[in-house]
Formats: sequence, C-alpha cells, structure tokens
Amino acid sequence: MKRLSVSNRKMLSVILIGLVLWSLSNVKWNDPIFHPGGTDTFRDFLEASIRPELSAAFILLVIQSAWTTVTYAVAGLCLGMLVGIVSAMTALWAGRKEKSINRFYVAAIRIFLAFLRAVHELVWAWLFIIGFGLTPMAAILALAIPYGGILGRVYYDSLLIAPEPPIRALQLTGATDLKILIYGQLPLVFPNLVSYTFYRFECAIRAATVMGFVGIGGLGMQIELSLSDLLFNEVWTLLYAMIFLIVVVDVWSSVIRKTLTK
Amino acid sequence: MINRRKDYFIRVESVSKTYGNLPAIRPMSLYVGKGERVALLGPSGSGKTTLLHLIGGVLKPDSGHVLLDGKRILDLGPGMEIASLIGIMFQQLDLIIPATVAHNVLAGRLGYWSFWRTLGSLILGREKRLALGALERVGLRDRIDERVNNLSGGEQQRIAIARLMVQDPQIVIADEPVASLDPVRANDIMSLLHQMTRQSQKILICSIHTEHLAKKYFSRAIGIKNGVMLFDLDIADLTEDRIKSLYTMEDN
Amino acid sequence: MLRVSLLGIVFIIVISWVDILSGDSGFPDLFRSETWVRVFRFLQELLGNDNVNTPAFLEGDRWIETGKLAYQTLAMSVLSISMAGLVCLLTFLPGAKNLSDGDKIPGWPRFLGIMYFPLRLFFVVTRSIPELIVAMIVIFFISPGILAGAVALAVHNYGILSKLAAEIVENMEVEPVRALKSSGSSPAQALLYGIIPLFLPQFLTYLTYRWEVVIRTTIVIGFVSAGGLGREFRLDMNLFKYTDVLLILIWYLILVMMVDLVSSRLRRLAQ
Repeated sequence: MKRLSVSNRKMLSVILIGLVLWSLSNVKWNDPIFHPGGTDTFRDFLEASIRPELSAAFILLVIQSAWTTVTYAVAGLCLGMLVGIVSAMTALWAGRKEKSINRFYVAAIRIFLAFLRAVHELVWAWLFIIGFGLTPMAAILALAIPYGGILGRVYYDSLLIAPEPPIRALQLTGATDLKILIYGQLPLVFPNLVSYTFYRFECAIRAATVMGFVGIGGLGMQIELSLSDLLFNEVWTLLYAMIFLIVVVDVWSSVIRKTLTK
Repeated sequence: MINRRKDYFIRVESVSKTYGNLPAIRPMSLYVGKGERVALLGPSGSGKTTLLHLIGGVLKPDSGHVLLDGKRILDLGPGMEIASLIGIMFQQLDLIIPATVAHNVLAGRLGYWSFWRTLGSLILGREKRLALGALERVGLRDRIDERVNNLSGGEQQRIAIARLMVQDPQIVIADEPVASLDPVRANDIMSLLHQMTRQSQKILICSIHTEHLAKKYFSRAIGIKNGVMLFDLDIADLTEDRIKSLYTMEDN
Repeated sequence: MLRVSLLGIVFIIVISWVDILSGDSGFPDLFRSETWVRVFRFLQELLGNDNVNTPAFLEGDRWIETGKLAYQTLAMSVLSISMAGLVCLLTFLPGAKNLSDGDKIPGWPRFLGIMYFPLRLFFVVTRSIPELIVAMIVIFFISPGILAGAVALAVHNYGILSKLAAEIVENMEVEPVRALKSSGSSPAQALLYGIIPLFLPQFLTYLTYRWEVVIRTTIVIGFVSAGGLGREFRLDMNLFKYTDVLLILIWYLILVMMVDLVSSRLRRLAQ
C-alpha cells in the first residue's frame, strides 16, 4: 500500500503540472496584456493608498456604510446559521437509526445543502434583485442561502466525527439521542464550530461589501461610486475601513477560540 | 598511549551550562581519544543530556569550548565536515514521523549531499539503495517503504541507528538509547551500536544506566551527578559502590 | 471574556435586525402577492415559457458556444489557483512563527525573522479585499480576459493560502530538524527534508478546497467583463435574454460539480 503512494505522488505532480500548463495555454498571449496608460492609473491608485480621504464628512459616510454592510452580514449569517443548524441536527437525528429510509433522508439533506452551496452569493443576489427588487432583503437572502449550505455541511461533518467514547458513557446513563448531541458531542467540537462560524462572518462582511456593487448599499456601493469617479483616496479610506472590520473579527475570533480551548 | 591533551580527538575544556538559575553542568573537562567507548552514568537530571548536547554541538556552552579533531565544533558549518565527524542519536529519536523509513534513513546523508542532490532524492527517489544496506544490518529491510509512525518503539530505535550508519561519523553520541527497551532489545541495540563503531577507531559515547550493558560494551565509565563529574574510570574499575554513590541523596 | 462576547454578539444581532426591519428592508414584500407573481414570471422567463424564440438551452449551437466559455472559465480558475499557490509557496515561510523565531532552523537568516509581521499583515490585506474589487482595480491595467480575472482571484486566494500554509508549519513538530542539523545538513536541506514532505499533502488539500471556491467565484469576476461565463451572464442579464441565462447557469453548475469531483480525487491522491 505504501509503495503505491510514491507512484501516486508522481502521478499527482504530473497532473498538477499538466493542469497549470494547460491553463496558461488558454491565455491569449498575442493580445496586448497591459492597457496603454493603465500603468499610470495603477501607480496613481497605489500612491493614493498613503493619502486616504480623511475629511469628517467622508469619514461619517464611511462609518455609516460600514455599519450597513455589517448589518447585512450579520442578518445573512444569522439566517444561514439557522438553516445550517436545523439541517445538520435533522440529518444527525435521522442518521441515528440504520433503516434505509433514514439513509435516504440523510442523503436528501446533504444533496439539498450541496445545492445551496453550489451557487455564489452574488449570483443569488442578482437573481433576487430581479425577482424581489433592489432591497436589503435580496442581499440578506443571497448571503443566507449559500452560507446555510456551507454551515450546514460543516456542522454536520464536525458533529459526525466527534469522538466516540464519551458518547457511550452518556448512552449508558440513559440519555436520549438529542441530549447526547447537546451534552456529549457539541462541547467537543464547539471551539472549531465557533471558529469556523466566525470565519464565515468575515467572509460575509466581504460578500456584503461586494453586494454593494450591485446597488444594495453599504461599503461596496461607496467603493463603486468613488472608483468610477477615480477618487482613489476615497477608495482607499473605504478599503481601510473594510480591512479594519475584518481584522477586528479575526482578532475577536482568535481570542474566543483561545478562551474556549483552555 | 596518549599523553598530551592536544592529541585527544575530543577535548571538552572547562565547559559549563546554566539554565536560568540552575547550573546543569558545572565547569567540567573531559578528554576522549580515538577508539574509546565511554559510558555516561548518572541519575536523571544529573546533566548527562546537557553534556552530550554540548559535546555534539547542539548547545552552546556558557564557558569553555569543545574541540573535535582540533576544531571548535561550533565553528564548523553544515556539510560534510560535521557529517563525517559526529552523529547524534537523541533521546526522542527525532525521526520525521509521517515520512517513510527510507526517507528517514537517507536523512543521514544530507551532510554529504548538495542541495540539488537532495531535491533529486525527494522527487525522483534515486538514492534508496543506500538505505537498503543499513536497513539490512538492523533487520528492517522489508519495512523500507512504510511510514515510521507504524513502527514500534524498538523498531524506530533501529531506524535511528540505520540513519547513523548511513551517516557513518567518527563519533557516535547516543542519549539513553535503551532506556525504554526490554533486556533482549536493549542488548540488540547496544550490539548494533558496538558493531557500528568497532572499526576505524570510532568513538562511542552513550548515556546509559544499565550496569551490565555498560560493562559489556564500554571501555570507560564516567559518572555525573548534579552537573559534576564524580568519577572517570576504566570500565573494569567500576564497582557497585561507585554506582551507588551516584544515586544516593546527600545533603551537600 | 466569553460572557462579554456572547452579550456583544446578541446585541449586534438584535440591533442589526432592528435596523434592517425598521427601514425599507424588502421583507414585507415576501408577504405580498405581487412579489410572488413577479418571481413566478421571472422563473417562467428563465424557462422560456413566454418567449417567441426557441429557448437557448434547446439549441445545440448555443450549448457549444456556452460550453466554450465554460472551458475558458475552467482554465481561468486553474490559472488563478496555480498563481496563488506558487507565489504562496515561494513567500509564506517567514510567516510561520516557529520558523522565524530563529532557533528551530539552524542558520536561519535573522532578517527573515523580521519579515514575520509585515508578511502576515500582507496576508491579511490581500485576504480582506474581495475578489470583485481587486478585479475592478486590475481591469485598469490588464486588458479584459481570463488573465485579468485569474490575477484578481489569485490575489485574494494568495492571502488565504499563505495564512493557512503558515498555520500548517506552525502546527508541525520542528524538532526533527534539530537532528538533521547535527548530522550536518544545511538550513535549506533541513527545510526540504524535514518540513516540506509533511507540509505538501496538507497544503494540497487546502489548495483543492480553494479551487472549489474559485470556480464558483469566476462567474462573479465575469461581471467586470473579465471573460468567460461571467461576462456572458451579465450581458444576457442586461439584454433580458433569460433563457441564455439559464443555459449559463446550467454550465456553471456542471463546472462546479466537475471541479468538486476532480478536487476530491486529487486530495485522495495526495494522501
């Protein structure tokens, strides 16, 4: 079995290199790669990074947009978590028994989650805007659906692989399956779930920002406005605000993770 | 017989090492000549590991210096010089755990290989033949492609020895090589170490606490207690009392 | 600390919802019948029910044309993830705390230790900026096409991969490196022999997972006319050619499933 792994690795290297070369061959190298004058614009853009727009009025606007973005991200993640938790718990509960109908339920839920996950949040946003109009709800639902799928799968997989022995002990005390889930398996994987959910929150902030591009409001919309006016100083202020949000979430997440794993 | 200090192959001159407030090794000197087989005895915490690490150049002494074949060990850069001079078997073996046996054994040749040859070995797997000889001698030839973490403790020990064999240094230092083994395995390991260093006047320095193994395989016994050398004897002169003196608790 | 965080989280959740629902949120629309009529009509348009022309997904040529775009999109995803992966491998090492501390790898140049903070900051910055925004910036100086899209996606994924790569090394035992040093190996060899072989399978796992994310994001990058399916998607949306949109979505799902499959096979090979 181990001998196979050496040739596996060689095959893997060949495949990977082949893929890379193939992808490179698809680029139209003949066409001019760089825009004329583009390098100047790019240089201006980079220079503006050290001179972000800091007027009081603009900073206020930035804070307001940032808050809007955060609310969308929070709301979207909330709904996503709901979907995720409910799906995961249902799948786990269904999976307890060995009957084939139960296996079908589990498979159905997993396929459902995979379907939710398949489409990017922006595509959902676009579709929802057409269907429901340019409202915050479009953005929130567009976030909630794929995130529900992702979180559901992560929650389910994590709880599935929770270590066995403590479960037995609980079963012997006569606890029902649901109680075992909550008292036995959950605490074991909780830190990882929290950490992953926070990571998703970080992604949600980014995604909510991007949704602003399609006109829903928040940081993204402001970035689009400033970018189309070529006001790079403003763009950088907004970017810094976004980076700041993400760093805050990141730091908060590691602090919580450390406290939980003590 | 060697009379002048300069002619000793290993010269440990007034080395000391302190960790924070605790002196692990108080200023100590030691001279070892070619062909000697030194057993380092003493209770745990006495400083044996520190001393071995100092000799091997793993640690830098707070005072004094260590000279191997006339050269300061700490001045030697990576490469063939160190590789052919000294090889260490750490207490924790320091094997690369998820890697294969072959990978670990061949690591002994790294000092002799150029960077590109190392790369070639990793990608193309050419140098495996070198490992076969050593693995044959330790009796693990058929496990060559297995992952090290699938092997037992005793087998891992033999892999560490095979690695040393492939490196083939003048001085072999082993830190408690048989501490956790049963008597039969312990004897096997010691016998392997003995074989490895038998020719070309190689030097073997081992920390060990089994008396009969010390008497069987070594020519010289050094006792360390609380960072101080209590005795330095010919193995024939090692008596029960001497050994006991290492282990009794005294109010000093 | 935990209690404070929990209160903070609940607080933020409550305030966010209050803020949203008190404004023109759109949620009440869900309860209005006009909304659902409109949605239903949209779905019908997707399926081409009230169209005069043949729906795009029933025409063979359209399948092939869109298929070509899908092919390009796939190439863009591979290009992007390879760029991110390669640059990451070349630059992530000083970002691992246990290596830049200097003691573990013998002779590790000191200046690399100083690079730890700036490098990790760089990871955070590239990771924070969404791909779409990077794409909009990249479009300024690289002509639209799959290279532009690939670069945009690569920047963001570089930040993510580098952070993950640094964490792989930080979670590893670097003690075996000590043994390698004492038997005469150079720092580069110790790295190559003691760390890389264990690191690569894990790294490849992360790489393939990111590939799955990247292929989903390619359709979004196309919004800024970077090429591939995304560009066509936006054009068709703007022209109300909804059956073409459905065709594109179908190809999109095919791509996603394909990449998920290949990606999991690659992961199995890497073990």
